[in-house]
Amino acid sequence: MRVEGLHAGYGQTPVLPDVNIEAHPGEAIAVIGPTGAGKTTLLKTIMGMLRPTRGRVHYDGRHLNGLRAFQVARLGLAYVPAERELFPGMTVLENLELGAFRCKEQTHLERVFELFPRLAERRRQLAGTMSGGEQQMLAIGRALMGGPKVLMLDEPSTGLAPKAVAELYRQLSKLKSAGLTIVLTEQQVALALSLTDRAYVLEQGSIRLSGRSSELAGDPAIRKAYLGVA
Amino acid sequence: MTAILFDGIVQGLQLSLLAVGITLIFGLGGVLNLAHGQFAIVGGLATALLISSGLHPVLASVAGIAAAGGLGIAVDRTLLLPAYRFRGEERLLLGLILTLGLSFVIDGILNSAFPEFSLTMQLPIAMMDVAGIPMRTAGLASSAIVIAVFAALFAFLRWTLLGKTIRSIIENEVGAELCGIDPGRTRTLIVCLAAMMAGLAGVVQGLFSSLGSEMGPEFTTLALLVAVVGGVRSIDGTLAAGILLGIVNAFASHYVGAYVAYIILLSAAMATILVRPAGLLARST
Repeated sequence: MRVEGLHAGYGQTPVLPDVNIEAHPGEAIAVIGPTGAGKTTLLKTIMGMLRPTRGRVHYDGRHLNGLRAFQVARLGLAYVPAERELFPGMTVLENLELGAFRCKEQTHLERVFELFPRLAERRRQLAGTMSGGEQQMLAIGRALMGGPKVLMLDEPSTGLAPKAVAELYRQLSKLKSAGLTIVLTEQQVALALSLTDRAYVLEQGSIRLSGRSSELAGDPAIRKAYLGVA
Repeated sequence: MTAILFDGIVQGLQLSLLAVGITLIFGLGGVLNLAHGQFAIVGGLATALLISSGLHPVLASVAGIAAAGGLGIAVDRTLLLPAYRFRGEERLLLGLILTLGLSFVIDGILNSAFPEFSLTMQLPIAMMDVAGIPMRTAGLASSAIVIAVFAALFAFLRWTLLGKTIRSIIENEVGAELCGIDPGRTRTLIVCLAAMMAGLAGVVQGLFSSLGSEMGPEFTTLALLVAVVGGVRSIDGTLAAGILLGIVNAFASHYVGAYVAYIILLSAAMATILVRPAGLLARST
């Protein structure tokens, strides 16, 4: 997946003047940066939920411009927004079934239950009555049900207890080892850098810095701005 | 007393059938359909036209209901397209104006082309005894039809993948799109289904008493009232609200007369909305 010269925003307000990022198959990348830098706008534009004013999103040998979110989802790009966008009045199992709406594969459910045993225990429970951590697991599980090639996560740790965050990142690292391409935005920069191969620093709508995650974690400017180390 | 209660339930079920379409279209499409009563009239009058041309009443009813469904698809695919380009309040307002205009057009055409035209169907046996109480066969038959349709609708929404898809869009359209669900196609299906149920409600009206070409606005108003009392997004709420308002209407019409009955009906609706603003059967959160 490659994003080229993307220019996007809401109404007359450009949020992303010009962004280039790239994720190779099987790679995990992080987009970090302060709140309001345009991380969510970037993911929503890739997903077709916002129209870019300029620039292109390339994916799997084609470009995604003009496609709507459901068409992008059908091509194998799964997006887990920060709001999770679950179906609160439906059961865990129904939420997962809808994730597999376009896909007749039966094995995905077993794999999701293997990764998140809690969802298997709670399969009859209404999604809206679960804890934040469980809802995040369900949102990721639902995204995995369609057998995506790329998983995009917007700040998955937001609002979760530290224990739930640690559990979540263990599960994400399992997904990464299984060869899934992951694009992640995160406020908890240390965690994001430890999971991913490469990272981009997005500030005021532009990529200020990019490189290997391990190197960025040692960069003095990053350590000062994002890791709270003087 | 029992006879009035029974009458109220029969009318209420018919109201629910009419109103559930408004609930479905609003829940799924974000449009309050102000031409919904007119869908019922089109279905009923198409049936009447086919019967008068010699078709068997049952076949004519099926064709009339299909005609209402066809009208629904046409409206969804043409008239409502500008509204669907917006979201939220803008879509709701544009949809209100478009469907209000449509209701005027349909009323105008029906009143000029078929003045005084009506659908009246007679069953071979007029009265039946149920548990010692004499009841009108038409009332029993129409209630049985409506109950069967609601049972089928609930089963469809609960157990089929398509039904779950519909519920998912009602719950969260963004989430549904992220699952790869095309809200537009599902919406067309729902508008068609809603229009067919309205058409059936029109036919049921012809079975129960008589359906006239001028009854569109009354049907729309009653259906809106029921949908709002039911919570406008809840299908079981709509069913309950229809029965409740049907019973209120039957008692009010019997004891104080039809005109005052409307005032009582509206007061009952307002009282329910005040007590349960999120709908009759809304879950407390």
